[in-house]
Amino acid sequence: MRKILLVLLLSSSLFSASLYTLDNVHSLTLYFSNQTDFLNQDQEAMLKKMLTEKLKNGGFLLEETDAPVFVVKIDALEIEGTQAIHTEVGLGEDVITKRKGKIGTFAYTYLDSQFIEGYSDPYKNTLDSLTLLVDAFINAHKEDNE
Amino acid sequence: MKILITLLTLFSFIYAAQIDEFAAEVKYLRNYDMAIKTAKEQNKIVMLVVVADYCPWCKKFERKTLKDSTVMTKVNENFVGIVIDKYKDQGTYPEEFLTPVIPVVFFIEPKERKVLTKTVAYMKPDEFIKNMNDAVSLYKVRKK
Repeated sequence: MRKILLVLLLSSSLFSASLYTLDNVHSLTLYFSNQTDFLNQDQEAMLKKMLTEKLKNGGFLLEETDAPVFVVKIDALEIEGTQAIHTEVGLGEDVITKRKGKIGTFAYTYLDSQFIEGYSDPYKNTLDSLTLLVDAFINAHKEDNE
Repeated sequence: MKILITLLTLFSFIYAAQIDEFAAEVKYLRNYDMAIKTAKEQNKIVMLVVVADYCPWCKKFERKTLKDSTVMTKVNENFVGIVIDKYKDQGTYPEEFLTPVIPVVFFIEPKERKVLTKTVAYMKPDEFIKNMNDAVSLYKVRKK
């Protein structure tokens, strides 16, 4: 699993642009949602710590008011007897649409997710997956703001 | 009559598709034959941008690259820009430009209507400018 993640990480760093536009995203509010029962409180805290540190090192301010929300979701499902973990990161914010009347709404302006096989070491696999997803987000942000 | 024309212009602006708004903003044409004619008259290259309204990479290419000030200046100097929707504008442009991958940009020599070079997929402004320069070089070689 680690090898697969490493290959994915390397290939994603070769092409770090995302189809989203992350210009001028300077501050974030981290929202963490764990909808599984395989992570204990300590593990959850470690995941939050990893995410916080990575985002801060990526240049984001995390204590600002009305900042876009960096959503991190973890849930699990069983596919033919195999437990799969679904990890997702997204950027949610209020936007003005191009609809008639320029309607405002809350929208995801960045979204990325993974399904991973998780029964062997769910915490480690979740950590690797979220590391990959947050790194991809930071790289995409960096590329858009060069 | 003037009031009617003003109202029609106003309504056409209000209900303009996003591709029309983008074309107006970057001063691209929306008609292939007109682009060829203009390029011949001005001795420029046709820069045909093929996109679709459902394509997020196309939107990003428009926002980040084609609206870049250096790219816009370069287009204005050497090219006649035209943007078409792959499906919605079908029938108004030659079928050879109906490509499976978008966004794609064709640089076309207007007299013989031959493709000098093309770019495929999203690329950043600096990378796209290199391709524009290549097209200009190829055009100069062809003209000799």
